[in-house]
Amino acid sequence: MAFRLGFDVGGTFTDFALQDERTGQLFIGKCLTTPDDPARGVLEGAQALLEERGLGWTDVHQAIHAATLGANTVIERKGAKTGLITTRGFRDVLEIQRQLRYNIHDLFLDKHPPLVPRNLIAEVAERLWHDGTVRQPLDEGDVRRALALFQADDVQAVAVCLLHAYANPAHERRIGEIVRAQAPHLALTLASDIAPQYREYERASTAVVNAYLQPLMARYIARISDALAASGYRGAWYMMQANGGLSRAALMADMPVRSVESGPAAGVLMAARYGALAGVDDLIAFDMGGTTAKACLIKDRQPATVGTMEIDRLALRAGSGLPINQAGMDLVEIGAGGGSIAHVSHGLLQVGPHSAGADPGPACYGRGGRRPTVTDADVLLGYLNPDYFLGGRMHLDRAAAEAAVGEHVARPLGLGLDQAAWGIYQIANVNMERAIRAISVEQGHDPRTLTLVAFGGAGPLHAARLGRSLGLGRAILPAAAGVTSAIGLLIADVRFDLARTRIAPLGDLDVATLNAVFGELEVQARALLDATGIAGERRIGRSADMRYAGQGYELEITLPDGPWAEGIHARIRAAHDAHYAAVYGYAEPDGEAELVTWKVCALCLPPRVELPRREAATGGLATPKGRRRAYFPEAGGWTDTAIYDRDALRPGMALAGPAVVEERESTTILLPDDTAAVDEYGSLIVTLGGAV
Amino acid sequence: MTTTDIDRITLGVVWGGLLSIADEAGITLRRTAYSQAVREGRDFSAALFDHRGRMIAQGDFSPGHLGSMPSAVRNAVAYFPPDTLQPGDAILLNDAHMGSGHLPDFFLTTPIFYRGELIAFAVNCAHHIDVGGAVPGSQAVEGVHESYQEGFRVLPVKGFVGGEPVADIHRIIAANVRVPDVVLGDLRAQRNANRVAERRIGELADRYGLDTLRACWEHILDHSEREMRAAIREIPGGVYHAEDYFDDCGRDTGPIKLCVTITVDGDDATIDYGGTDPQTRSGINATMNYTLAYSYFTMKCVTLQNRLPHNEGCLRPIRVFAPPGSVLNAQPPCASGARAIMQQRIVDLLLQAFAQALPDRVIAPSAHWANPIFGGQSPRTGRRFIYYEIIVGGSGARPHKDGAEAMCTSFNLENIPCEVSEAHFPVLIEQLAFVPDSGGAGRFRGGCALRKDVRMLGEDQRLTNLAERQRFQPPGLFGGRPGALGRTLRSPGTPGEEVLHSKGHYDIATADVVSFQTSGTGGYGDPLVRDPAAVQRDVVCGYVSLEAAQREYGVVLDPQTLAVDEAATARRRAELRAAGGEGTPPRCPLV
Repeated sequence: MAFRLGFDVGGTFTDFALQDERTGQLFIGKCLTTPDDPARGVLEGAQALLEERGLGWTDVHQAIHAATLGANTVIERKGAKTGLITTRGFRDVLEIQRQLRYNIHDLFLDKHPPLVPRNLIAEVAERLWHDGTVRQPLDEGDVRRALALFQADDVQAVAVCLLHAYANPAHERRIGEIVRAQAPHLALTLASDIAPQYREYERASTAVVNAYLQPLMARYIARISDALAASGYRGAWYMMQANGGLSRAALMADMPVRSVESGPAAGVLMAARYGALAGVDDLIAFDMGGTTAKACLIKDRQPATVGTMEIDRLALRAGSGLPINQAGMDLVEIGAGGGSIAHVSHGLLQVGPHSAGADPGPACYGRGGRRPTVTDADVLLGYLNPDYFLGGRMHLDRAAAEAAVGEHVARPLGLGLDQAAWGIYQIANVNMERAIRAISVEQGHDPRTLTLVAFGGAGPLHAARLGRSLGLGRAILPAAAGVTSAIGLLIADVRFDLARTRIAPLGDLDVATLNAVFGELEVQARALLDATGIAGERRIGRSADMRYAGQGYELEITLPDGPWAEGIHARIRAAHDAHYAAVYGYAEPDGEAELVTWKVCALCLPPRVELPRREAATGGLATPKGRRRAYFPEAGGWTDTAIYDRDALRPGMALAGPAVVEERESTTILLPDDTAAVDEYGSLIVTLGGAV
Repeated sequence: MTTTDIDRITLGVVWGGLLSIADEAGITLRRTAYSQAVREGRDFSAALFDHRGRMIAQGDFSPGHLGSMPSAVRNAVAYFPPDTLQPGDAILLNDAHMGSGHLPDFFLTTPIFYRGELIAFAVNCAHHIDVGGAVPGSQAVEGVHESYQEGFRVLPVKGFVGGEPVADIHRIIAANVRVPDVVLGDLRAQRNANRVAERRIGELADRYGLDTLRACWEHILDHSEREMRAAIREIPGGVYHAEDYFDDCGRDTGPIKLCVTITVDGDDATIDYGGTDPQTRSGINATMNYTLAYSYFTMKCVTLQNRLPHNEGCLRPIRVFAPPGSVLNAQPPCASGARAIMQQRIVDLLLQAFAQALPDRVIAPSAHWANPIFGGQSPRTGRRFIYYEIIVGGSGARPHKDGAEAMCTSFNLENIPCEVSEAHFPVLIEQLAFVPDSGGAGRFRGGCALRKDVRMLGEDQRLTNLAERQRFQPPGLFGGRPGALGRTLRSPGTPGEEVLHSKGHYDIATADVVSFQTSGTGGYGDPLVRDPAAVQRDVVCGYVSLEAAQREYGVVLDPQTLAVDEAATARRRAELRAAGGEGTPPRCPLV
């Protein structure tokens, strides 16, 4: 019972990391995701990894899971058919949205198409005043009529969002009772449960995304639970949340919105850790998998975060995605992965956003894919070794890659095969470069002060060139990059963020009220921590979104731990004024401070397990395991290139590009003039050549 | 240091840095503001100017403000030459001809010093919720004919010294506005925005040095000019003309004719509003700065779009003329408080002219937004309130897709959440919804009209209405039909229903409901070739009625299943084609 298992289910691959808590030793694995039933891939892959080590499920006491399922389901519009119940007169809030033009000079921009079409939005007569008092009671007949409409249209999930229900959830709860009584098979989300914060569009959007994901996520979690139980696993299992903290998986079935970007969040955590181990504070975490690429800025070891996440952005601009009232990492995500399909449109070569996924996958997988992908280009350029993919467990079909690239790219564009493959590689890079620029250069962060941490199955294949074109000086390419997010799951804390809107001037709140409202959130938070069953040091912190009365936006102010005594008012006021002046230049001494959203963050810090260190070599240059031709235009095209075995690299060794470094779960490319040193954790610390 | 010495990475970082500073200044303004207009509606802008007063970066905010900023900075510096300025000073002005054409827009210009040297200016503009004058909100159309009736006017003065409010100035402002706490709060938010910009510019200078920064500015302006010229060269050379009519400027007034002639010659473009009607004796008048702002904005939309950030370099190849004394170049002491309602018409007019040259880059005319303002007494607080509302309809249909629903084309605002309005004002929003059958039919459909019904629960209430497209429909393009007219109703759907004039002011009794309905937007292309599946989807979702599907699109659906009856559709379309003449003729030659 000394092992912990992390598994990250991506669009193309499912990744595993297994750690022996006694020694810190890590074992990793990777298998194709099984989209028809992801649990099958999880079970088979985990089983294989355990058997390889002579272990069984009884040796594992904690299983931790992350999935890109949520975000991918929204992006691909594959969620449940969802209906929305809302207050009479407000059916169109979901489509009207906030009306922001995220590009002011673009006459052709579109807003996000709602997940619920207009004909599945039902209005019910009821109305609350802003303070939660009832103006018009709920018409329960309207609720039943809404359900009849939904059932006639085979709706599978229902979201409920009524005006001002953050202040009084009674009507939403009554609707919930009716839905559960009359249509118990429907998944149900009440906005007042999932996001009790004011501003009706953002709250409705959060509730709808949650309902849209619920049936799928509930099935998925139940399926994995059953499969784990059937395999003999007796421990608890956990899921990563978008805030970078763990929760018990069963708790997430009803709130899938909390786990929408959980896989990438785990990767970002791990990137920050690799940076810290290498003594680097300012990083770009870059994760390229089979389906998408994600990037997140890390400054002073802290990943950039947002209070309201957006998923499925239409452009690399804030305001172009679906808002969800959920704190998370500020990730930029684009449809560029190893499986992204290359195609010629209007005479121009384009790559993505569509992905061949795991099934059929890239042409070279030989599973029936006929369309050329980035991975096919990587094979043709000599970067990927067809005989050593997944350590040789999967053979890549070079001829199929040639046929696909030839037919769909080379021929239409009148190019040779090499040029066509090189074109695909470059276009994929340019797309990713633009995404990374949006979170770095365009925010005024100088790339020369940032270090790229590249991971994901395809990350290290593209990192060196991407880093070079962005003007970065350095990259950290961790070992086992193909499963970095899975490893990140093993270092995460348990964390719950709870929030409730209650607008009141600080002066009107006595100490008892302050303690009562925060106390209630703390009770909920403790119950969630208890439900995880994980032991460790606990921290429960209070904060509040505050403003001066009359303003519309708040700052999050960290407050002293509770319970509070008399005299707390002056401390809260001082904390708010000081933070306000630090951010905006000046405080408002004559203003009245007001609490808007009350927040509790509950953490449980499990004992930290260190990453394994590698035995140092006597130093000197690494020895290649072989050579083959690979394509490097700066060296004149096809170049005789050294191939290294990543597992044979020892701390202290150095190597120079051009080079291909192969390991079981990923392949790294170093360009001519790049130099790399191996650190004690097996990471390649690369000094990028050609840097300005 | 010359521009050639700047490496591309440094240039990219400095440029990106300047844009994000302008954005951050705007975010600061919004987050520390008190009025709904600024903090929810985003009725503000922020930009950076170099020490010579050239705009080098702007945030993605209101085009009307941004286009007027060069003039505001020029005038601020004319009154306060650099040697009279100290760190922490901020120059305030709201003169309509120096600024953006009406008194509610306050410009605040802050010199940015670096190691004792004035290197740049941070500038922002915010729409203030009230500047006194005849009506709450200071945007009357009727009954005003000179600016002195519209509120108080500020020629450039130092509003802040050493970062602190100049008490005398702020006291004068407080005495002249209906909601002094809100106005002075927003003014301090404007100060905060410039302070944040100043701090961040200092960090950039620390990192790269002043010489590099200045070299980057030169490069940004020159590069932008080159790109704009290249984009203009892509427009077929020629002379393009359009006219459109503005409804009126109050009860018992007639239409106002707007004309434009665009001449594209090589890499120069001239926009000439000759033929436009004279200025009016009402609050509807655009000053030259305002007309310039929307001319530049539209030009950028059909050329560089969002490919390049906007700055003064983009403006260099464009010349704009409007006859002095016309409604698009009104002369002092004209009233102009309500001029914002003209912005969409200027954009639509220009797009109709550009349609002849660039049919694939324009969209059909959009809905006008409505910007009514209520003043009154709040029973909840016992104090005066000013409830600023903004209702935005859709964008016109586009060459390859439908118009966007509920999306403005001339402005960059956000709507005000109903929950926020109700939390702050004695109002109850009864409805916020699309109006079916209001989008202009076309191969691509225009956006639907948007309707917002507001129950007013205050006392001693007065409404200043401000809306458009209630007499002249937004035309369609290339065979598309016009969008439905907008309207304003009191007590809609009751026996006492009453039409209110788009520019009238009215006393509003406690518990009265006023319904604001924008117009629909123009369609693009022949509705008889619209994909029947798209018409079916519109009917299923309730944007288009079963009857209108037949009448406008010739698409016959089964009333029960809503399936397309293909044979009946073919017959109906043939009939409509044979009948010809139905609907409006194409506004522009088909290409």
